[in-house]
Amino acid sequence: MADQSSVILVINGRKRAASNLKELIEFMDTPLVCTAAPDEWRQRLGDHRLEALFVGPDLSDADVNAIMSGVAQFDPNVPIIMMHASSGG
Amino acid sequence: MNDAELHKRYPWARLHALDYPVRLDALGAVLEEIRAAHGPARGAYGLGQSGRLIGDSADTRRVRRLAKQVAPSLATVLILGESGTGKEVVARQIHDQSGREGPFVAINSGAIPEQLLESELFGHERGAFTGAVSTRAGRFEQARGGTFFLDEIGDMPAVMQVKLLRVLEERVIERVGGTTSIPVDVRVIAATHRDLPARIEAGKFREDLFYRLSVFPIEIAPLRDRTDDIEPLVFEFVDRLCRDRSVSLDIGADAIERLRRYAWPGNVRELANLIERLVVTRPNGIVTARDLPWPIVDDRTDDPPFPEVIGAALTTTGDRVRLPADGFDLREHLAHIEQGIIQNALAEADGVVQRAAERLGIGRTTLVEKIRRYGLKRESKGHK
Repeated sequence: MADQSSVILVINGRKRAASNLKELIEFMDTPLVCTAAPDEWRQRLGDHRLEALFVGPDLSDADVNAIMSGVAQFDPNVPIIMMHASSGG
Repeated sequence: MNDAELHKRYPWARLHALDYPVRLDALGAVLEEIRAAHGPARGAYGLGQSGRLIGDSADTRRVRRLAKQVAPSLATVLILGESGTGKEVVARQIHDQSGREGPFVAINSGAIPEQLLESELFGHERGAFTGAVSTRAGRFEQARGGTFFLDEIGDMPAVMQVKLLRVLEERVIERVGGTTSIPVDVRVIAATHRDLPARIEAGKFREDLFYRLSVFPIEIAPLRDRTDDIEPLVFEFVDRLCRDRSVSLDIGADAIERLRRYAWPGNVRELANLIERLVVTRPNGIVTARDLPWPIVDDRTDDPPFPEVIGAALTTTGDRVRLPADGFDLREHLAHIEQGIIQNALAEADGVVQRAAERLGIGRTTLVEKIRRYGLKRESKGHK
């Protein structure tokens, strides 16, 4: 298990979808999970260690690029989970 | 942006893909992958960072002795054993006794995507690829002066096997995008649950790397073959978990006996998980054999030969139903059972549908419909 100060961030444009995913991840016995908008994830992270970043399917390429640049500067070792809309539902 | 574009644009990134809406099994797999590949090196099964080997079986004493013997040298060690046997614990024990002042760095070489593994192991120079905004040391460099533990070496991609061989032979690494050879003072310990000679035979593992790694092999027996370790492991886990959670838990002698008789396919990891579950579900309680989950309770070697076959796929042991490992279709199974019961009822009712329906407690129309659906004949008793 990760240490107590680590956090998984869910970045999504739609708050409801982000909250749903947060609940699912928490259900899987994970450490602290927080949701964030694309432009505020660094602030939301605070002093926590970033365990992983879930990137929602509805973000624009510009948002994704900004997030990737931010991660590269912050800690390139952080796992990034890119979610893609599935037609199969 | 699709995955291919992302990988091309950000080759440094540890990217994982997940379909949305999210399926729980897929999410679980991704989280597991992240933990395995990127999580902090775990002290294995709640044993902390001490790397202490628990147990006093002949096999554990042998492993302890071998670890102590090899620790002070720089010899590469290959630890072999089934998943969950505690290979990382042994590696830590070797590191702790080695006197090396550098860190113990662990990586699961099978869990990291091939395109990222090189950068992970050897690091990269700034500008080596798009997105490599800063120079980053790889795990080999991080382990300088210490021990580098390469878990699941049997799953390492072929390309990386060549590069690892070079490092082991020359003791230098080269960062991705770099031109300088960097000497690394690192003691390498590798581990795998795979049958490496078989992988060599299949062309999936390099023979020269195998010989280079197995300078000092240590084989850990599965838990089922060292049952004397079970009781000390149980008490170690109970002590540690209860201390952490400020609860108490007593494990009865009958429960210990059951635990000793179980086959433990998941080895020590499975045992640790069970104890953790018991600590959560029975805080301040006493665990008897009856409190143990059914695979453990039912794994009795002295049971009379059972299992009774129901239909084609299911077996029962006692009052428990065991599902086949390769999947199961409940609807089909229930239909099979229903068909058999209707056939018997019809036979006993001499083919009289009304009487069979009464016997089954269903309406005549319903039974006719089922007879039609299953293509059954109205057999009379004794007629086949």
